[in-house]
Amino acid sequence: MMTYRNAMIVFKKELKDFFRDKRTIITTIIVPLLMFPLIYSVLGGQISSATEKLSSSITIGVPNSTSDETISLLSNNIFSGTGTTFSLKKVSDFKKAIDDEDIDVGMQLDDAKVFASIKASKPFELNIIYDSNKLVSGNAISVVQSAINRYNTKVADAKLKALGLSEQDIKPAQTNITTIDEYVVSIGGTATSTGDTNPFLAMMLPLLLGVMVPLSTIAAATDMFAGEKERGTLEPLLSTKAGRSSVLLGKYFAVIVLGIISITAYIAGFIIALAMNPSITSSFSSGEATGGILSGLSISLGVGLMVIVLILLLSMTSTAIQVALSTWSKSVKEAGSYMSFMSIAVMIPAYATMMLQPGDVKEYMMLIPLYNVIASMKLALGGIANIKLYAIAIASSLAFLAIILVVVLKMLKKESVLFRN
Amino acid sequence: MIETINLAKQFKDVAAVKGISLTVQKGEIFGLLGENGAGKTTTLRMLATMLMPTSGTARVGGFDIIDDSEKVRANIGVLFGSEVGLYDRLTTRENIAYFGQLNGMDKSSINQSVEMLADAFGLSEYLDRKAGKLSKGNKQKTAFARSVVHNPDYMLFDEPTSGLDVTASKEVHVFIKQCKEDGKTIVLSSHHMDEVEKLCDRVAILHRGEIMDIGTIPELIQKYNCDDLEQVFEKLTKGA
Ligand SMILES: Nc1ncnc2c1ncn2[C@@H]1O[C@H](COP(=O)(O)OP(=O)(O)O)[C@@H](O)[C@H]1O
Ligand SMILES: [Mg+2]
Repeated sequence: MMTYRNAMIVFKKELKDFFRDKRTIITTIIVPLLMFPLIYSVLGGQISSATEKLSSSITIGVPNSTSDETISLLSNNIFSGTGTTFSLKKVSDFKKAIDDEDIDVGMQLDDAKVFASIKASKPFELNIIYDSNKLVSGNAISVVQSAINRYNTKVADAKLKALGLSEQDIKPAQTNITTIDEYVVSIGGTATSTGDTNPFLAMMLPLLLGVMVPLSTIAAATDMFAGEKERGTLEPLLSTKAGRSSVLLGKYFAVIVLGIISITAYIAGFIIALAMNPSITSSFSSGEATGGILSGLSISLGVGLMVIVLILLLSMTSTAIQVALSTWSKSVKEAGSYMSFMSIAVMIPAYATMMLQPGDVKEYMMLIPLYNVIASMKLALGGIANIKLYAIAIASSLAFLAIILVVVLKMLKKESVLFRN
Repeated sequence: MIETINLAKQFKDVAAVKGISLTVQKGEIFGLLGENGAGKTTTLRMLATMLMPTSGTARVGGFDIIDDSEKVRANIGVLFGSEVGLYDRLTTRENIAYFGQLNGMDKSSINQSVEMLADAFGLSEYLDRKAGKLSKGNKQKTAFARSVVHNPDYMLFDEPTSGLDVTASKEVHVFIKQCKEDGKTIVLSSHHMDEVEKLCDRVAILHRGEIMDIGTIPELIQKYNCDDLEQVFEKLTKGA
């Protein structure tokens, strides 16, 4: 009870102290809030303009010598009848035209042969030239190719029909693809997946939070432990009636609360960024991209709560590590170098889970600190309801952070740590 | 009462305190007089339970510094000489009050105590300023006020006036004397002869971690046949 009371005193003082600093407010709230909107208004703006251009129109360059008859034949037979508007444009220099963004791709062809072959549905060649360094040019290739495939299918169908055959006659084997969950349900079982999948968030959130959550507490953790030692206030603080454990807990939870405030600002910024650029999520969401501005963010309440619990756990674990490093440090500077090492180290578990598919998560992975929480987030967002995996992750994280806090408490009693000079 | 029993501290290859034994009575101001490196700070840190003795022990108000360190901390107020660290973003008042809270005081007694201390140290007009903006002297006085805000029975002051000007030193001296009147038990360290002469009932002359002698100032002057404490100190520490 005494510990709780004193921990609250320390906790309140630390928050008050921390928010007296304008720089702190900027780095904990303002910067996180603006980061994603700024990134996406630059980066997202480019992507979406490229995407828009792609879906609306593609300009294909053809040699100057190409006859108008051939061009209109190509336009009517191959590059038409799709969502994309193609225009064929005569150019003298493919390289220059692509560089100047006059055309998206170039197309070399034998004018007379192409004209005759299309008329007769005979084989002919189209040589497409593109610039792999340009997003628009690279993407245009696949659109051009699918237009050509469509033409090929159309010609093939006509020829088969003339022979009294259908496509199935020449491609006899058919495949139907069913997920294991659909299969289990079809034979009367229950699926392991909750069906609450959100591919976009399952890909982005664990990666972003895996990096952001540990980063968000570095400044506070450094200030409250190494800073206190450096300023010469730790010794007076520890000589009061308040025990070391209440000092530690009060500070620890103050750091976590500051981290949560910061993460909330990041997430708010992320949502604002998506609201500004809905096309970012559209490539992930199944079907049309028009299901409301934030359709890419929809998750069920249960998954949302699970993600919040995991964010807390991630913050508590990474903060415990930072508190240990900060307590060990002689100075803020020394703590700073440990922290910059840590901020690189936390990228490893975050990126390690990036390519991980929810179904690939194994039980032993759930024993690895930090990684287990990020992987659990991936599972939750991937719609996997595997209670056992979550339980292992949560229990092992709690055990891990308890051990670290006990170590810090030992450090606070150790002279060699208190008086390292 | 504060008593040390063969209290010793060894840092790796430095014997900072070499088994000192002394007793300080209730209502007494006891001085640890010694040059830099004599072991004054180390002794006070052990009494404050911040350092663990290598051998020997001490009792503060009947509580052992090793076995009952929590109870010792509940009864002491400590000024760590070289460490005049304050929370720069908190006001003077908040700095002092924080330590009152941590020592279990309620709001009204904290307010009372803060006003009383501010008055005693001429800090009243600075109470609501950020500690980071205070002059060095006012910072040190704030640190002093912080160490006694909870009106502890045992007070340990490491070089309480080092870095203070004459007026501020006087304020501190007056305050320490008042504490004695109130029945507090006080141990302070100093390398200023006149401070010790003015304040202390008894003094231990500390040299390289050892007590050269203990006594009241008149006793020591008489014993070594000197004119003043400074001569006694010279005699005992320079081997003259
Ligand atoms: N934390 C420490 N680690 C190692 N040596 C120390 C430490 N603190 C003090 N010392 C050494 O112990 C001796 C006594 O120091 P100290 O108690 O600070 O003396 P004083 O306060 O009388 O100047 C000095 O030689 C000092 O260098
Ligand atoms: Mg000293």
